[in-house]
Amino acid sequence: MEYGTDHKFLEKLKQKDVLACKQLYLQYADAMYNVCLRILQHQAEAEDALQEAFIKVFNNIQQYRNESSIGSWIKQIVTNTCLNVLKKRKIIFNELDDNVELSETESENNNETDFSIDDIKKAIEELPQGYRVVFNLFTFEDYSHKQIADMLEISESTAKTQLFKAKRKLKELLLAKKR
Amino acid sequence: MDNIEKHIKQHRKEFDVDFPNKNKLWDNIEQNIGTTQKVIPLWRNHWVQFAAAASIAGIITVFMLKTQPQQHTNTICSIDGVSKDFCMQVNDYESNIQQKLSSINTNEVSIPKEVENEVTLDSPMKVVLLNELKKNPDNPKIKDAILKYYKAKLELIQRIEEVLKKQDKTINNETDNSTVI
Repeated sequence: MEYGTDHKFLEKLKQKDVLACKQLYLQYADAMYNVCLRILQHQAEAEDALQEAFIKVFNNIQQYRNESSIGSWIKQIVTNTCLNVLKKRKIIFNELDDNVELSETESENNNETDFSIDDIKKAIEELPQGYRVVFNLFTFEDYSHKQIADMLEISESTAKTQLFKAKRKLKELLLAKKR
Repeated sequence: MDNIEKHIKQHRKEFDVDFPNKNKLWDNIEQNIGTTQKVIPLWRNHWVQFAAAASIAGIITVFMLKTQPQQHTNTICSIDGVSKDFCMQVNDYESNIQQKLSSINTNEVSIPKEVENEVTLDSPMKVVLLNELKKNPDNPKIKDAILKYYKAKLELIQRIEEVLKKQDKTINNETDNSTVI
């Protein structure tokens, strides 16, 4: 059930009805925790960010306009909260190497799907933090290059470059594990 | 979209395998959002409080009713200076009387009201004797008078029992005769 379409439920949320708020929280807490964990790579920080994000969700529920699904709206708040934590860590999504030629075909390999889920997760964790965040936002959270650029306050071309380099590095790490 | 990306999207759910401490986090969140209807613990619910109070009152009433016979005895035994022997004698009489009274259903018996009251209630005589005992707990005459009071009460109950038995026999005989006719 998508709660964003339920008018009565939304009204209850806006009145801060405790049961409605808890229902919404329980519906999305697990998925949003995994978003936090992928970005922050730290359990305690991910829990803190999740808590902070849901407080923002409920305290700003009046601003939700039902234009997107409430799940997308929550994910946006969760993602921004986690990115703010990264900014405090002074993670820089720099504009370097923008001249890299983007060629998706350069390392296409039919054996790329032979990797286990566990291998892929470990390889993603080993990515440099800037690459990893862009890769996760694009691949797991389905954000566009434009959205990622806006969130990270970088140019769209940098977002594309970072993603390209992240994928190339990921393949290297996976191949190294296979050898 | 390259092969790894496709592979990840095909197995997307298998990547979301971690869980937060949802209850602990919710407690913190709830404190910071000012919800309108707090979850009331069961013991704070008025109906539960009422039910609990009624149950406690019921338990106390049953307890008091059950312990009533002992209270009479304890009144005598709790008087300072009353000997253990005397106390035990009173206890014996009390328990005998209670036993016999419980076997007689006085509501269905056609005995004079004065006699019934004498059997089921404490008489003014007992109150006088108790007051005297409090003043002179060692006085053998008072102790003797109290034992005689209990003895007389017990004899009265025994007589009532005999009368009831005779009545029962008569009724049974009459019933048998009417059946023969």
